[in-house]
Amino acid sequence: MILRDALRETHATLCQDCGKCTGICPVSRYDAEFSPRMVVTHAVRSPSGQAHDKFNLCLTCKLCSLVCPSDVDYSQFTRQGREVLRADGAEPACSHGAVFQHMMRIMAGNGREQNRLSWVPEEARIRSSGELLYFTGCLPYYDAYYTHLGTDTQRIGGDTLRVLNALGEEPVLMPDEFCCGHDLYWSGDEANAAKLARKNVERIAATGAKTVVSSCPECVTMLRQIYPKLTGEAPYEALHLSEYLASKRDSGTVELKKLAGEVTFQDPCRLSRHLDEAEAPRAALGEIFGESFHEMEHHGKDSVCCGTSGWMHCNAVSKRIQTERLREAADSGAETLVTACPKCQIHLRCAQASEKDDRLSSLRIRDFATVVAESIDGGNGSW
Amino acid sequence: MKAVKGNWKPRLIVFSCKWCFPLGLEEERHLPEGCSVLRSLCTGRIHPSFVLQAIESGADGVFIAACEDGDCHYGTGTEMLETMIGRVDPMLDMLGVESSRFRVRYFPPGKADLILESVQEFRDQLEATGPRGPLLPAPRLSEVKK
Repeated sequence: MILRDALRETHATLCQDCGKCTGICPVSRYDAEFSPRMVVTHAVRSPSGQAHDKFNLCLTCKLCSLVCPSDVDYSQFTRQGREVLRADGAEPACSHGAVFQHMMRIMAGNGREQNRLSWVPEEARIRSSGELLYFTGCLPYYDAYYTHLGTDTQRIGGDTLRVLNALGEEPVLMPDEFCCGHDLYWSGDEANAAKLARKNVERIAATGAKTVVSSCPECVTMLRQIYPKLTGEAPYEALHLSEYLASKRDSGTVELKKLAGEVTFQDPCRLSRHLDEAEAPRAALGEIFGESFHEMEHHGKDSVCCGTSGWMHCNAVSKRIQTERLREAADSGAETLVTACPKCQIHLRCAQASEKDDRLSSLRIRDFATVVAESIDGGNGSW
Repeated sequence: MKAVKGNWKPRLIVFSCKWCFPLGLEEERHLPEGCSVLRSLCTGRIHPSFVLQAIESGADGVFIAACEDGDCHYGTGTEMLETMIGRVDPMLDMLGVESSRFRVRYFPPGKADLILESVQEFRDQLEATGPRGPLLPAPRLSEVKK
């Protein structure tokens, strides 16, 4: 298997070697031996268009594509390169011993009955069929694994339900939902990602849902952009919680109350660039925090990724990117860093755990759903 | 591992500590059929991903032969194993893998015969439980009422 098709499909053959991608790439900043164009150059020059191991270092955060004059889709090129590497037997050394990839492949492999809804708070109003579905993603699994980081990703699920209930919605929760397959897809295992995609599309259709809301931008990119490619159909509209909230605010059905505290927002790469949505979360946070909402130096589409994606790898470069991100947040004058992706939260908390600078380790990291839920309830805590 | 059809026998992955239980060729010969032994320098090295990978590869059960607290060659291995179990148990539960398919037992050093006995018992129990298989047939789009 070679990369010739990928070079054409992603416009990588049009690379002008101008180096803008290297200039903006967060990995190149700390790893002089990596650059997006170098990866392309290698693929073009090698006689059979082979991939090489640098493919695994890319964050697929799409920052380079923003500045590329030839419109090269490096992220997609990287993903296809990983497919080639996998086909050649060079399985990437995924972080955490690939525990999440194994988990996803176990799900892809058969239709076992999961026990994934034990976290749902008793007070939550949910249904088994209806127009609106909440796609929870892997939240409960992360809490089981990251016991040492004190993450509370399940809470994001509970808070999202609080928000949806407060909006007068009773969302559908699927007891047999599967992982969205994002990490398998981006680590070059499209075959298993497609199995998960088909299962999820079938189950979503069975609930009769027209709108699928998720608190995880990775799930949304899969549901909206990738599932139609993998399964040929996606008979629903997929929205991130912030986008759904924005549509409700436009129609005046939700009132966000003010909350105290200085906050800033970490744009998840999947939300701000892959889904092209930097405004919706800002609009809500701006209303909740007013002038206490601060922007980091790199924000919106310019924001820098949380340092690792798809559980592909985690190294010293990831740590430096994360520390830099925390520093920008502290420099903005914020005490709380709000993010809209459970993985940003996990990665930044992990960087905090080994951080010596009090300013950075004392930053409070919270999810967008939690903040919005508190605002709607008037700061009345959680369920 | 490939799926066995028809005459099904359980397949087991047995992790053991190389220091306390040097399960050698002699002992391995007495292990029940379908058991593969993976010797680890310390059971504290066993990562949740090892257990999940064994399940993903088709193992019907995973057995860990660990040292009793205080016997670890490195001092903290048993403690690390406990932490690992605390992480992998809820993941297996959510994935729908029965808890009876993952067993950790603690043995005093050198007691390979006790391990063999315990593994045999685990295997017999798995044989009675039956193979892991798809439990929930996925609803098809065609079955969905429009």
